[in-house]
Amino acid sequence: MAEFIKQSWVFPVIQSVHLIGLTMLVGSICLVDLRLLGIGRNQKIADLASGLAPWTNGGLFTVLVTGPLMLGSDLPRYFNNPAFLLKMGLLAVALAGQFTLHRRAVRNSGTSSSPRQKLTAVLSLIVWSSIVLAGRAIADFDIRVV
Amino acid sequence: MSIPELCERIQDTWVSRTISESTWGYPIVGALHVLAIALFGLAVLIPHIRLHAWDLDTDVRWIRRIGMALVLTTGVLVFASGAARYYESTSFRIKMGLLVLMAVNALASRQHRYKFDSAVAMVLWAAMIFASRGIAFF
Repeated sequence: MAEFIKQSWVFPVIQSVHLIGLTMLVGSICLVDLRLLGIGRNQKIADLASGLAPWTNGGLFTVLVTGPLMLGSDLPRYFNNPAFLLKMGLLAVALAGQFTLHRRAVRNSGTSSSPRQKLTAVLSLIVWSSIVLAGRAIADFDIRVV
Repeated sequence: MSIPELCERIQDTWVSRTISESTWGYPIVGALHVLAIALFGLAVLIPHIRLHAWDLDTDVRWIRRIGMALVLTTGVLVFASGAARYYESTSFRIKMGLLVLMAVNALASRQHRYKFDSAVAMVLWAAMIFASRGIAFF
């Protein structure tokens, strides 16, 4: 299995699917965060979040399937990579925040948001952006184990 | 001046050389390009998705415009850093073709067949991601 994934064409295909999932996940969260920050005033934030939920969930499912496939194809590569380790740490923080702070901020919101909810949105944008950047940086911090 | 010559000139400019010859130039610009896609890629598709919960005309328009500006700016910088190589790449050419098709699809979209238009947009969009990754290979 690992050898099959490491084959030249399989890995970039999985990476592409990972990126599509990432865009669904981060893109939908970003839209809710921007709404929490006051961009757009017409709809309830909770309605927007529930409208986008299929994209968030579908994206999360996609990255959580394709990510471990890439990880499993070359464990030493990833566990020796500082960018990957940082990404996993940030991901734990992001997921924990997403299902607690973020969910609460969205649920308690009407058509406008409190400073606390805005802070949650800013933190969410920063952490998810950092995950994307750290993911991209994995290739820059490759220390090949020969 | 032929197109390959033009590409050579583009990648010889100060901006291009700063990106391609510095240690962190390319990783940073490339990462920002991916970040812009991750944050705003979905927003660009939203008019096609027709969310009930979002007032399309007033709310999303500016997010979409800013998103497109960021993706295109970082994309142009990545291209400029190695214009000749990108121009030679079949996958890059496919990607640019898909970009043109996306623009045509967006301009030609009509209210009464938005489901068809949105399906086309999403397929083109996903194909662009695959073509981007393919640049490293062919």
